[in-house]
Amino acid sequence: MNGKMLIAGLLVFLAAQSYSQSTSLPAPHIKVGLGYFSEMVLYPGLVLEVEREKMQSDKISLPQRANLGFYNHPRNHMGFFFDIHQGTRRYFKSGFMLESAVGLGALVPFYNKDVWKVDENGSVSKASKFGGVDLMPSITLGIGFRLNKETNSLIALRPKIFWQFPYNQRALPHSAFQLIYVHTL
Amino acid sequence: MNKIAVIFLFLIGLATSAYSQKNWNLGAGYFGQQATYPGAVLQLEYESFVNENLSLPLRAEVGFYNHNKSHNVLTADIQRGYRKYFSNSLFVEQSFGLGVMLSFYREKFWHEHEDETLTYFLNTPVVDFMPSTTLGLGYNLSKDRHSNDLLWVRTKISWQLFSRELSKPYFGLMIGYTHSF
Repeated sequence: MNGKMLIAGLLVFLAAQSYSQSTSLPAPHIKVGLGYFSEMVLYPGLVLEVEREKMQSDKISLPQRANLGFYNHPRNHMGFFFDIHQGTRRYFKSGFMLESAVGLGALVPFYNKDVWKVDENGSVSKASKFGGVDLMPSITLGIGFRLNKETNSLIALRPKIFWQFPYNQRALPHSAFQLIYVHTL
Repeated sequence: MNKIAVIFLFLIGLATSAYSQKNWNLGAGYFGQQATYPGAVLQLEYESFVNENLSLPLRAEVGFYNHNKSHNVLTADIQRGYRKYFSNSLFVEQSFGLGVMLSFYREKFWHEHEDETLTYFLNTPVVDFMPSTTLGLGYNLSKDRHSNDLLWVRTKISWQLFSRELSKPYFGLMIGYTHSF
């Protein structure tokens, strides 16, 4: 129940954020990024992102981001994911920036060892390595440095906690670490 | 490691700081753990505006709830986030929080340590860290940003570290009112 309510809340929140309005704010920046993604810090992967950043002042923005990526957890699984994020970002005069975001997406694990199943009669047989499609709510925080003040291209470190739901009828938490370069188009 | 990472993340999130036009807000509301176990929250909020439609509230919140046949809980935390107002008076908000949770169990509460030893608590509060994230949707009854009257519904997902696993967050539903003074 907790997991479903969490997902419902995230969906309402993300949907509400996409509501458009007319303001005198500057046009959004469109950015693309590529970076290293590691589950549990050590297990390597890649992440590709597309971002729409709406500046709210010269220092505060509301980025909306889509991430596509994968990681390889040896002797366990390889995970492919796609998720969307909504958050805030603050730029400092020094060039540093801080950000936070909540996200929701899908995680597709493929087990990289043999998987076995036991049927009702107790007989054992091999099962598919495809782990199904799980929901993936997440929380991401970031610290980075703005390389170009005009375009806001940046490099960022982003620790991320994401949950794999359902997993044995619960949500399995994962931690991840991302190092990414983001370029403004 | 996941639990330590969560606390670290929430500390960084809270470090994101404030701006120009300010409101002091006082709020109160119903808090339902799992939506139905009843309680209440009281909030003091410092809301700084980035522009007419976006603010960065810093909120201190105390609350309690009564979990039937199990335990009573007191909570206190500080939340940092943003609130986006729309021209039709609706607003959405999101925040991260970090605080403490005090649980008063009515029966013997057993805790199994990593070395498999057991301890139990009875009528003594169990103190835990409580990172959280809150998503909200609401309506501003006032057209004036300097004197907001906000009706809101918030979902709060919180964790009880380290007594409860990271995979078992609590879900809270809050309905309340906030007034600027």
